[in-house]
Amino acid sequence: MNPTFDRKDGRLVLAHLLFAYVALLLGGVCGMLQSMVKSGSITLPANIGYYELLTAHGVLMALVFTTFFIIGFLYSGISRTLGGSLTGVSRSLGWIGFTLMAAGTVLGVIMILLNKATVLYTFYAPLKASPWFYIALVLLVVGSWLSGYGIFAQYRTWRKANTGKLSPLLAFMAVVTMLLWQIATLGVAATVLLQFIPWSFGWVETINVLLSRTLFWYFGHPLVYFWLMPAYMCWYVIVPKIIGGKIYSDALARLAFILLLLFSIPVGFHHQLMEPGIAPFWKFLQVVLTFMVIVPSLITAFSLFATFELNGRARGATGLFGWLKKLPWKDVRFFAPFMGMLVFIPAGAGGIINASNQMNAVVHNTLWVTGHFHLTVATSVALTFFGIGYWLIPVVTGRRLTKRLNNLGIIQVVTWCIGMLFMSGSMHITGLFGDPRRTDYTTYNDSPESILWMPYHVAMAVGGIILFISLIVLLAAVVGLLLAPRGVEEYPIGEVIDTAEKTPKLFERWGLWIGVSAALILIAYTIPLADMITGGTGSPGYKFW
Amino acid sequence: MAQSVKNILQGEDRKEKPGAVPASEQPSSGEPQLKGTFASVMLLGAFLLAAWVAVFILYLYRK
Amino acid sequence: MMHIHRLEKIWLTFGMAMLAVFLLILGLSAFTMGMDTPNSGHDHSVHAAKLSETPPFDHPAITQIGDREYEAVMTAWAFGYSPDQDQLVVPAGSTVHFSVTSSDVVHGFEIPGTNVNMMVLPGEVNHVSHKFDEPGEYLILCNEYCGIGHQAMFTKLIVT
Repeated sequence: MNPTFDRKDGRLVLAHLLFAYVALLLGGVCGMLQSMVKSGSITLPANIGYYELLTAHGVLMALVFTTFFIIGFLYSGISRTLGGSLTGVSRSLGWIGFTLMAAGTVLGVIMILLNKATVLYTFYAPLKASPWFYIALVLLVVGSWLSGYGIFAQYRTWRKANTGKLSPLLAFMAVVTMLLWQIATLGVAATVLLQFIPWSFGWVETINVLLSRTLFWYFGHPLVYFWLMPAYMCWYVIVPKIIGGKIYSDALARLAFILLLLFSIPVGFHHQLMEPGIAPFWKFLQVVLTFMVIVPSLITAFSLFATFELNGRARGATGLFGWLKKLPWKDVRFFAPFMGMLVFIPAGAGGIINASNQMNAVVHNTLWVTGHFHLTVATSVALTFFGIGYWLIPVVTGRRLTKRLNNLGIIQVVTWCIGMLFMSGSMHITGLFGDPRRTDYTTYNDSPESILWMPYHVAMAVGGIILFISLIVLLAAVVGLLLAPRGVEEYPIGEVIDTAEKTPKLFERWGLWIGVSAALILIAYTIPLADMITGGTGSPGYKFW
Repeated sequence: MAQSVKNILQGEDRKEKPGAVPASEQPSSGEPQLKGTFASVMLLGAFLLAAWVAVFILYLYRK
Repeated sequence: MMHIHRLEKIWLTFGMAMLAVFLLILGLSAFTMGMDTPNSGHDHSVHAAKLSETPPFDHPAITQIGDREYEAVMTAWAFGYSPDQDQLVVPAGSTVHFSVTSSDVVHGFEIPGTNVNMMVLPGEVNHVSHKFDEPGEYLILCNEYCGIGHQAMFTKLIVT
């Protein structure tokens, strides 16, 4: 196996990663300022509003940082495991995708900072932003489609050259992730292209609000699995190699990914449980489907613990939890994703509660929800991505992760966790007290409720500042990695344990899985969508900012 | 009859040396030792259960 | 087809059973005990642009419909609610049935400390009921971003 990473591919990967880190920085500045405003510590200068910052924060963190990092990581994985270098077609599609996405990001951020799109990253109608904001979203999404086609192209080339062979696990997972993305983005593409753009340009007078929300959330739930699956790729395939162990089961890992593909899409209504216009039956049906998407995560938990335990026992660990001591805690390439895994436990618990039909009334639109996704995407996924960066940047630049940078990384991860404990912990508690999310500093005319909430806002600001410090440490480490001594850094790819069973070919019958996915989506959405389209009224646009 | 069966089983247990893994606990058909994994996921499951029940109780209380 | 470890089978059985029990509890209490999500009942029943001509939303008001039972027909708008705390007064022990629609953008309708928490959409009427046992001033706030005055969008229900 070629020990050095292909240099041309490396540039493509690095471009994605660096763009992601810049988005993270800008988004992080916004986030810290938001937390300080909400705690009453600062007021913003006249030319920038809280909701502008919030819009920028959501877009940069949830749409830009994530998408760019993911696509960069996925391209690195397929370059590495599907032949050692990308084909010309694949790399070209990668660059075209990157360019479109970058253009969309720049256009979108400009519109947001010009206060022409203060609609938050969910851009709910009938709040109406500048049409150029929606065009920016189109560029971002279409760019990502082309990036996806590049990944499919490389996969197809490999399969033709390796007929009958099982595809490498990392590549399989990358393909499932991008397939999920293609199917999921159909919803947001439909609403933006067919509803928002004509409406915001004035070509049509009104927009069907409920329909637009439904199409968005058809996309919005699988979006979070688009974030999670690359983290799972790291946990399933990369981490076993880092700890010196083996992958517990190739077949179960593929099964988990197929289940995630099937059950993360027909479930958008669990983000709309408190809404009118959707019959209770359809809400509950999608709740049942949502609970099915929990199962692949239960499978994943077992597989990951099993990997750790078998590795520990092979190194002489005894007792129920002795294997914990055999893990490389001082290796940031392990420690960062491990903390991501650990935090996924309360993160997932919160998710199950959120999706629980009428129980959602306890938490809907409160800061509990904000606390939840700061655990899932902003800790489990983000720490895993940061952990990937610590070895991936050296790999693609032909440098080494030095001991000093490793130790800086450990500090960075610990700081992040402390900050998140303060911030997300407080958000969960004050959310249960009814404290609303997405809200500027207010005391509701000195209401007793606000007085109860304010100390938690102070704790959130403390957490937010600590997180920002961690972010600075991270970026210092990234700069350090870009200037690190030359060398050969390993691209850690785990091997499957010898005793694991042969993986069924079934998992790569793409036509079958796309068909099942389509069937589930049609079952979950056809009737309620038809009802919204035929029965709903339209709203004109409003610019209330 | 049941008591004598019980006596036999207890007698067999007492004959085993302390610290030895009883036959029933050895991995069957070559399955690896995953008791730590099982304990970990069951703890995880207990956490999921406790969190859900706590919020459900809050929901009912607020009704 | 695939060999699954005995302990994994036990784990997954426990996990899926737990999820099934949750769903059973949620489904039964929603569909047989009236503890469901807020719903419109009759979907897409109003036109936001014509609210001023559409009873009962042409005159939002709280009216008594029974012994300690009230119907609050309300509209949400940027940035307030009609009627507001001047009229939203009920005696302790009252059940209030809220019917709310929006005359402009999407709003929220949340009473912190209770399960009253629902979305208010233009073109739809949402419903939620609550029994207010304790006297006090209950904050009704908007928890869905609706513009620059979102954080100032609230009213109060006074329970005497």
